[in-house]
Amino acid sequence: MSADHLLIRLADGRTAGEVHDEEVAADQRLEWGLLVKEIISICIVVAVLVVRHLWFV
Amino acid sequence: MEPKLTREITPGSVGECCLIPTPPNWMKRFVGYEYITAQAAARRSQNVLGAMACLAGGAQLHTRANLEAIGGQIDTSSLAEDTFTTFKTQLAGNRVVFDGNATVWAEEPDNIDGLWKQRLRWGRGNVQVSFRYKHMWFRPSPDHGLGSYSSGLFWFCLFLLPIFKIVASASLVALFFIDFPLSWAAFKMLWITNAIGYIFITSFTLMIDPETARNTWREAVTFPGLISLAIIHYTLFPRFFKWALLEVLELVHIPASGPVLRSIILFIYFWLAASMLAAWAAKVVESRRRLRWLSPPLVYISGYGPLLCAIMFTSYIKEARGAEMTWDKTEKTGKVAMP
Repeated sequence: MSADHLLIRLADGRTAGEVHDEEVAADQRLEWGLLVKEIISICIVVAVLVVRHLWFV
Repeated sequence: MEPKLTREITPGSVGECCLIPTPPNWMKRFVGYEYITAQAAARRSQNVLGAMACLAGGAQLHTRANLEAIGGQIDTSSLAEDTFTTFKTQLAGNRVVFDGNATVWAEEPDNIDGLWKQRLRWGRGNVQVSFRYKHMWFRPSPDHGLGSYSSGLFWFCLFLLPIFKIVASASLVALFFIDFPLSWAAFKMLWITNAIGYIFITSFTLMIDPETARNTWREAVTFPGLISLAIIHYTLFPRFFKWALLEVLELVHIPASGPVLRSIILFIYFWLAASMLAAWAAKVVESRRRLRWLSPPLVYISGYGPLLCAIMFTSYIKEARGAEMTWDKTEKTGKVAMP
């Protein structure tokens, strides 16, 4: 994407460059969120195994 | 495509978009859930590994330079043109990137027959890819990641899943007659691994895309099928399950004797492979007008995963027989509406 393209003004008044930066920042937040969710899933697995070992075997 | 694709696609790369269908019926809900695992989760991990197995053909973006590098045209000599394009791009030394935050709308099959045609085409395409690139697998190269061990494991663990299921079942059944205690230990190890994988994948997948998860959580839970789900529950909570089983047997006046329990165990050993047969039966009854209503319950009981394995197994047979390559295109009904 050239510098000229980034200066194109969209209907909501923002430039294409601003929209691009906002979207990239939002995507990066989402990717970090996925790491947290992955850790939560591992915790759920460990919790189930602990519960199994303590009360259900 | 939504405006999110205003982002830059780096030279030599292929951008891809996750497709999440509106889930109006039970089949589309299964497909919706499957796509979170197969696209949003698996493709992201392949981004990290640096080797992409396939980007959906309906959502690939290529640079002109890349199209020229892979021969100036899409290879249509197989039934998996998008996988070939993805492979050729990487073999040409270009990057393939999955963009999990872009959205493409697509219509998916809403019955077993439609799914069977679509996935049989994909499955046969995967057989063709596996053989066409037979000299590439498990041979690491500095130019691309497809030859890495992780990439090969990723590919063949999915590609050979029906074989693994059949071999696992056959081994357990053989051990049942040869050395029962060993078979029981092997069964527990196998299913506790399955249970851990099931809990992790289901919980993580549902959290990746909460919006789709709200519509598809029932299909997420029943993805392996109700019988496999019961086996997973037994593996995780054996004491509780034994108590429940004995209560049920007593309720239906079946004595919990040795032969009955051994029959149940043998059935469980068979089930890994038999679930594919049961899923295939769901396809057969769907084509019978009077029995069609049985088809969805059969899929929920036998599992959507085993249904996909049954289709994959059929694709081996079709390719081995050299069946004609017909492009059974997914039927589009135009029912999907943008929100």
